[in-house]
This record gives sequence, structure tokens and C-alpha cells, in this order.
Amino acid sequence: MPTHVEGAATLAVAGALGVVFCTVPVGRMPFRLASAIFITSFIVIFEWPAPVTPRDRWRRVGTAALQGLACGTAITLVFEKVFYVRLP
Amino acid sequence: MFDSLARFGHALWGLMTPYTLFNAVWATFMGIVIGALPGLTATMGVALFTTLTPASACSTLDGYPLARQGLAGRAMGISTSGSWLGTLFGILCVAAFTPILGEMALSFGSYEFFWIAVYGIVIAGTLSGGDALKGYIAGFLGLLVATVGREPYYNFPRFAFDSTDLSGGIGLLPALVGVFGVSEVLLAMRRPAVKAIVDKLDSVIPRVGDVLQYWRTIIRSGFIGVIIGILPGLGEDAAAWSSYAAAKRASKEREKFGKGSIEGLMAAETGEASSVPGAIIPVLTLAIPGSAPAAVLMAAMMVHGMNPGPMLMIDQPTFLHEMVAMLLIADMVKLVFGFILVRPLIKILLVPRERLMPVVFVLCVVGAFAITSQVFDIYVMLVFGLIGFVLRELKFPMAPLVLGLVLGDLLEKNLTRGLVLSAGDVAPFFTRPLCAALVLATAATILWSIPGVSERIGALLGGRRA
Repeated sequence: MPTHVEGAATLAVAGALGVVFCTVPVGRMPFRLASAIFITSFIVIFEWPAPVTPRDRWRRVGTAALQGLACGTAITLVFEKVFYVRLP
Repeated sequence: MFDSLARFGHALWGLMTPYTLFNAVWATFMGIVIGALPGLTATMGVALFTTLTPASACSTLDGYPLARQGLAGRAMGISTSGSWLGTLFGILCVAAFTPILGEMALSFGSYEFFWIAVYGIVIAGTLSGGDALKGYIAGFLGLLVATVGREPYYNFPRFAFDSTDLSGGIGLLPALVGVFGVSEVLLAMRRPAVKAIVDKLDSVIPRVGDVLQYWRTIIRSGFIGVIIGILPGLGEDAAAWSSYAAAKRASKEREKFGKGSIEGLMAAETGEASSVPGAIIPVLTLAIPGSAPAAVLMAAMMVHGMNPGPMLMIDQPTFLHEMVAMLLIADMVKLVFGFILVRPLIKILLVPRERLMPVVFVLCVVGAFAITSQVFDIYVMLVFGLIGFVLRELKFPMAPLVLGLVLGDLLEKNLTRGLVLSAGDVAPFFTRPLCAALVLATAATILWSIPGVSERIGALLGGRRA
């Protein structure tokens, strides 16, 4: 795929994921869960097409889920409990 | 002077608490991490924590050749020490010049503040690089966005379209987080993925001789950086390039510039670093930000109930000393981190953007929501993220847009107040001495930005000299 087309496709997908994240789960479920789902989905969608073995692919999905959960939890804890910032 | 020093000492002692030092440490750490990562910017760092940039491009002119010679560690040591010294110089200027400029600003009235706001936007549009017309369009777009909401004196809704959310106006911080946070995420995903190449590092501790040998360069670059920092819209990259160019002109080793010159690297880093505290001077005295990060800092100050401007030193007389003390603490922490974090930070550079950008986006959402706890602010962040992305793809500068957003309220309130005071007469806007000077400066800046006019004037002046 030409670079500029690939860049436009990546941009469109990233933008769409961001819009969906802000309009659908945010405010309707705990922020920890919403951000974990978003981060995991984002990583999986962009890393899925990579030319790796199926085993490596599922390992990446696993690490993406772990990262999503860890980041969602860490961000929620730090901002709510340490900085006393209200989250959506 | 001794009274000032005593207040500074008192402020510094008061900030030496475990909680404050912990905040300084983690905030500086996050600033360094965000600054190190390609695609993330200083403004994003400030916007996200209120608290590979363009300014660093100048450092790579000599930093990269040094790395190619196997002296990457030495280059980083020079960068760190140059940055530390530049910030220290800038902090001294903040402490020295802010009270003087603040005292002068107390004599400014509504008429003067109106023209200061106009001049700030015009000069940012002219000097922010690229097409001046695009700069002016961005500035006026910022002013247009600033009018959304209710008119400040008569509460008349403007561009609200019967929406209670829009009638409350566009939040400054959500808009800035969108323009500098979300648009950067989109830009990072748009560009081809960058694969970091990690080479071996030599020692990062700088040689004292390197620093002492170029003391004139350090002081010159510090001055240039502070002056450029004070001027609205120019920012750190202009300071870095200007300091580099001045150092090259004055250097006895100018043939080494661009090929691994320690002096060139030191000049770029010192100039860039000193512009950061320099940009805070007009924030504290005139409520006019000298750069985009300073604009976000100013917005954060306003959110916390502080009114930047000439009254700041009267309403909160200890604030300046506390800010200088905090800058000093952060500078010291930056120096320590600059030496010990180089090797661990290299590992962070290897994180792919697909894993980093969603975390940044989530932080943007947190930042946008945090101030007023309204979901509407998240939508504002999204919209401005898209607007910021489109404008940057079209090569519109962001500094005038930010200044228009920030200064729109100041400009309108002072215009209305001035007209009320003069019973509708516009003459005081042009006849008061400082106003007349600012009008001439604004007109000259606009005329100079017109290509035909500047060439003609250049030709006329060149003809006279010949």
C-alpha cells in the first residue's frame, strides 16, 4: 500500500477509535474499564496486521489486554486517589 | 534587594516539603519522558500535566555528528548542562525583570491592554514561521472561538445555537488539550512509524572545562533566549536557532558548526532553555503568554483562581518568589534526571506508537474533563483536536491560534471598558502615548509581513547605504 494511503487509513482508524471512545463508553461505564477497553482495542487493531505467527499474534493480544488493564487502573488510581481529580 | 532575597529564601524553604519535592520529581520526570519521545511536545506535556520537539532540531545539527563520532554521551551531557544553565539564567531574569515590568504594567489602562493583546496576536502571526497570512487567519480564528458563549458585559449569548453548553463558552484548557494533545496523537499516527536505533553510549557527565570554556556563549544565548521568550508566539525553536546563529557568527571555531561543535550544541540548548522562563515573564506581568506552553501554564493558573497580570504581585505578593523557587527546584531535579535517565529513557524510545498513543489519548480525555467535570469539554477537546490536526496539515501555525484563544477575552473586555470610559470615543485608543506606539508597531509589523512592502523597504535602505 502506498505510504500516503497507509497513513490516511491509520489516521482514519485512530480518529474513529478516539471518537467512539469519547462518545460511547466514557460516562456510561467506569472510566477504568472504558480506558482499558480503548487501549486494548487500539493496540490490537493496529498490531493485528503485522506479519507474525498466530502464536505471536495472540501473545500480543494478551500483552495488549494486560497493558490496557494496567494503564486504565494506574491512570484511574493516580488521578482519583493521588490528585483528587474527578474522572468521567 | 535584601528584602526580595529574604522572601525568596522563605519561599524556597516553604517549598522544601516531601509532597512538593515529590510533585517536582514526578512532573519533571514526565516532562523529560514526553520531551524525549518523538511526536510529543513540550506544550502537550504542560497541557497534560498542568504541568522529538521542533526546538530540538537545532540541537541535532551538532548533536548527531557528535553521536556519529561515538560521543553521544558527551553530547547529552553538554545538552543537559546547557539546558540547566539556560534555565538558571532565565530564572534569574524572571526574578529580576518581573517586578520591574509588573510595576510598569500597573500604569497601563484598558486602552493599552487592548493594543497589547492585538499586538501579541499580530506579532505571533508574523513571526511564528511560514506564511504570515496563515498566522493572521489562525489568530483571528482563535479570537472567533473566544467569542463563543456570553458577551462579558451584557450576558448576550453568541454562537450558542440555543445550547446551554455552548452558551457557557469554549473551555480554554479542553481546547488547548485538543489542539496540542489530540492533534499530536493524530499526527503521530499519520506519519510513518519511526524505528529508534540505539547505539552504545559513552559517559554522559559533562566536562567542567567544556562548560567554562564557553561561558560567553552561555550568557549570550541566555540573553537571546529570554528576549525571544518574552515576545509572544516565537517559542523555544526560534530561541534555539537564533542563539545557534549568533554563536556561529561570534565563534572562533565556526568551521566546526554543523560537524559536531560543542559550542554550537551548548548555544542551542542554552537559548532554548532560557526562553522557557522568559516566556513566563509576560504571563505574570501582562497576562500575555510568550509561547504555547506558557499559554497553557497561564490557563492552568487561571483555573486555580490566580489572575495573571499586573495585579498578581499586589493580590499575591509571595507568588513570584514561590514561582522562582519552584523553577529552581525543578531545574535542579532536571539536572539530576538529565544525567541518570539517559540510559533508561532509551528503552522508552523503543515503545511502538500503537502502544503509546492510546495512553496519551486517555490522558487527554482526563485533562479535558478534569477542570469542570463536564462531558461537553471532552467533545470540545475532540473537535479542537480535529481542527488542530487539519490546520497543522495545511501548515497553519498554532501559536497565533492559541494566543487568539487566550487573549480574546482580555482584548474584548478592555475594548468594551475603554469605550465605556471614553463614552464611545475611540480617540484615546490612538492618542495615548503607549497606545500610539503600539498602533505604529502593529501597523509596521503587518506592513513588514507583506512581501512587496518589505522588499521595497529593503531595496530603499540598501540603495541609501550604497
